[in-house]
Amino acid sequence: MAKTMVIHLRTGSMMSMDSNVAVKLARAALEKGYNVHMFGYGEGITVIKEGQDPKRFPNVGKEIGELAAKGMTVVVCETCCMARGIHRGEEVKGTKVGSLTNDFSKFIKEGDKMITIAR
Amino acid sequence: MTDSILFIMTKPPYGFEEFFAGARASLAMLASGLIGRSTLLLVGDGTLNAVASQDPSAVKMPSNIEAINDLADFEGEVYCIADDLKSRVGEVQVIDGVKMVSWDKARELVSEHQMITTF
Amino acid sequence: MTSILFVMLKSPHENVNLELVDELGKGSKKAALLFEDAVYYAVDKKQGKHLSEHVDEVFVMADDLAARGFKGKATGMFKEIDYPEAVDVIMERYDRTVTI
Repeated sequence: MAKTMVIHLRTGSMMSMDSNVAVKLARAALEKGYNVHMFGYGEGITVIKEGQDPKRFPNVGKEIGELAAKGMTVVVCETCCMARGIHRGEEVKGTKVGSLTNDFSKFIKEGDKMITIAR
Repeated sequence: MTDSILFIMTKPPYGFEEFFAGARASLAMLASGLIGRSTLLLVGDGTLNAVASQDPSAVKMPSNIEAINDLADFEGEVYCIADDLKSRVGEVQVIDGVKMVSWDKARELVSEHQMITTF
Repeated sequence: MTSILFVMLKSPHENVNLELVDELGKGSKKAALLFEDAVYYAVDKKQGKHLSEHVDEVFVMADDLAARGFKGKATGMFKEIDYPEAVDVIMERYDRTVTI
């Protein structure tokens, strides 16, 4: 059974290159045959917002949607979303607005290794 | 499969939301029933969250004391590096239930927990 | 003995707590994995020496180093790697990761 990498992302999609690092790690892990779970917490929830359209930088939302289509599980914290005015239905297709208790804990349970990407 | 997670808390209270967010995430692990052990370790500036006289109402922020007490309700453990706190603010009273420890104990905690995240 | 991979993202001149590396990693096999501005450790002689005194090996993301103008400039214990190898390091070579 393939091992599972958990990516715990707490930096926003445009704050720094952290979200790009998360995407590149996730892509490489998927290509090597690992399962990947990504949980967005705090500012990290912004990566799943549909409609991101950076003119000159990589489109993290689009890339995360593509990785979700390839099997990555992506969930972000609903409380953090509500605090930032992002609501269910506004997420990139294939991603989910969920919770620490129901989703992050499940990711941890299923995970073999976790990498935290935060400042 | 993971059954234990250590939250290393590095940020001081009330300038960042990190401690509160980390404590809530730790609580969620225990509340989920999926993770058997979820522990906080306060290091560096993170040790300042253990100060008993903190008054978050002064800045209208959620209480880190309550967050620690909530963890205690779920038998979550909270450890604080004694030397780090003392070097910052001298001898101060700490929140009930916070265990003051050395780096030897911190290394034991790292070995005992299968995953580690940093806030 | 538990081995630890310390994940670093910030420049050596930001507030980086290498004491945590020393204290948590004492007696353990330990390495640093450098992303983004942390790759400057590989070319900043003073800070690089400082980091190398704290860990047994250092992995540097090659794309981040190249982007900053220092492609191939990592030397000594600083090893440039790509993302597939970073995944190996995280998933297979170390017991725990700690982001500092």
